[in-house]
Amino acid sequence: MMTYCKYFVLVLNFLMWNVAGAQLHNLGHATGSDHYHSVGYQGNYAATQDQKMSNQVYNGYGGGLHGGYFSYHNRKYTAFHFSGGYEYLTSPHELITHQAWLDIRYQHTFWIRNSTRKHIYLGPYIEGLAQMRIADALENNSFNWDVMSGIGPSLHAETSLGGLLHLPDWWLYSDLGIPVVGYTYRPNYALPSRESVHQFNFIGRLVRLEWQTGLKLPASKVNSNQYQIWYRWGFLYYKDNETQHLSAGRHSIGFSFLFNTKSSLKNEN
Amino acid sequence: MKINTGFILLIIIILSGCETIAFDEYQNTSPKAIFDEAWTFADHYYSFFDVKGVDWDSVYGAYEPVLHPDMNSIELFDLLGGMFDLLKDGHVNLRSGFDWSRYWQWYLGAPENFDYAVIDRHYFQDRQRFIGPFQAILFDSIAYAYLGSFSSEFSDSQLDLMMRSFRDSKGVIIDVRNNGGGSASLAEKLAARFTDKVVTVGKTRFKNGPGAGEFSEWEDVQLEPYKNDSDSEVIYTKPVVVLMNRKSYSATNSFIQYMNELENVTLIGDRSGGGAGTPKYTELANGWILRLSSTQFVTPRGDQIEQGIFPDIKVNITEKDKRENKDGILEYALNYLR
Repeated sequence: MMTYCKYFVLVLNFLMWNVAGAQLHNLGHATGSDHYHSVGYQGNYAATQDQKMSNQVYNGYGGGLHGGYFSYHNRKYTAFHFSGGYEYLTSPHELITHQAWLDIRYQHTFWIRNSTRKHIYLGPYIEGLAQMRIADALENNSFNWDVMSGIGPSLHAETSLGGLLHLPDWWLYSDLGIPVVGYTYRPNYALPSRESVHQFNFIGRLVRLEWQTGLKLPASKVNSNQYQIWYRWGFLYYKDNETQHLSAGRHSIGFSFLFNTKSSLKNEN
Repeated sequence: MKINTGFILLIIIILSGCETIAFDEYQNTSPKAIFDEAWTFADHYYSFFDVKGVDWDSVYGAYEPVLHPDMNSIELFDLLGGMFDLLKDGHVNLRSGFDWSRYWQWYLGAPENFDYAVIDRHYFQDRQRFIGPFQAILFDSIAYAYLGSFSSEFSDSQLDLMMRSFRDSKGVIIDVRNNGGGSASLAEKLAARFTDKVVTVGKTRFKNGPGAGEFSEWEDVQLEPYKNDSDSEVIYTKPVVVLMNRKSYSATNSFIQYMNELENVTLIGDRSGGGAGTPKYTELANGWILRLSSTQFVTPRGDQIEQGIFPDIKVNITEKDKRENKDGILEYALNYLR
């Protein structure tokens, strides 16, 4: 399924950036303000190998909710986002794991490029991710947590696609975040070891990558509210030793409703 | 410099989903791979090689040559089960869909020393009170409570109720014979009702590496008395007897050790079954679940209790007791407290 998912997004991006992108339209967000609040839901595919729990790779599907806000203001793009959900994972031999997660991030970026087609923002972002896994069959060590927070550069890029399907102002956007410094906390509720991990790590022992791309399209012709359809990939790798070794990927397809709460844009173009 | 965002996106899309690259490969289900995974897990986490006098590298050398690529699941399971039997540990099990390996010799060769039917028909006689998982009764001035497992939850209020019912007694008998264990926190919760001060009841450490001596630092285990400022009757500090036998195992063994460090407690019966290591579990690549002891819990003086705790007064149920439908261990405890 993930192969299909990737190619779907690939084709979508190709079309949007290279064909429809030629249709220039509203290139606002330069000066003035534009604020949105977002709320929505998402479906996930997740794969996790937590070697504190077991050597096996557990994968499966789940869903979640998300919300937040983003704004364009004085050539800055800032965004706050939180999401959380549940996934039902199984090992290759169908040992069941329940995974719940919560992700919070804040992005504060500055306009580094403006053209008639694209806006690119670069700046720091900070993120916190908590994941909890319960594999009942593993009894004493069935309950495992990992909490990670990191700070690093992020990129926000967007381009106007102009009007499509009788609706004006479609936008294609993408976000990328790579923490270079992170804090890892692995509390241990598994009985045998009671060994917790608290560590600051530079990229290498802890690798986190988040990438999201999607479309923003007008909800109607009479107001500035928007819909957002997106694909997100989150990757987490942490290795301190054979036991404290975690690799996890989460692919999400989401739908959001964006409420425009403030708009005073002035086009410079 | 022109930033080709579309190109960057293309690269990321191609890379996305590549988390599988970061996964260690543990999908090989050949007999050799499963054997190595199980052996390595034990090598890394099993905590009693020294106590049991087992050289795990030699075990590998003895068992690995027996492997052959064509062996079926049952043959492999039996080979691994035999290998783990060398650890003589009731907390070491390999579970598959068709069997689970176990070592039960720690109690099979010992006297039974308990017959619930005798307790039920000749002592309780349908007069006991069920307070959560406890069955409690007063024999004149001696209170008696039987607990068959530490797997069933009991609340503070249930313990309050039981302790209040004991308040006028001369002594209490807590019978944990044939109690195979369960939750160590429940064992601690019960023991906390029999002391009014903090007591160091042992030390613990966990195995954290493949070397024979790779353990965490020792940590004291302390028993804190249950606190209820409004009601001191929920703590019992008069004489207490704990009845035990070889099937008093795992969390029950811990409970006995907690009680053994209290001044007002006497242990009566047979040696406990042991099982002082908290098990760690893993799923092998073929879906079998392996568990094994991964910690050590010793007395404050450093004595191992993995192979059981000896009673203060050793008593066995005799053939004469059985013929007369008496529980000789319980009778001894009743007389002891009277």
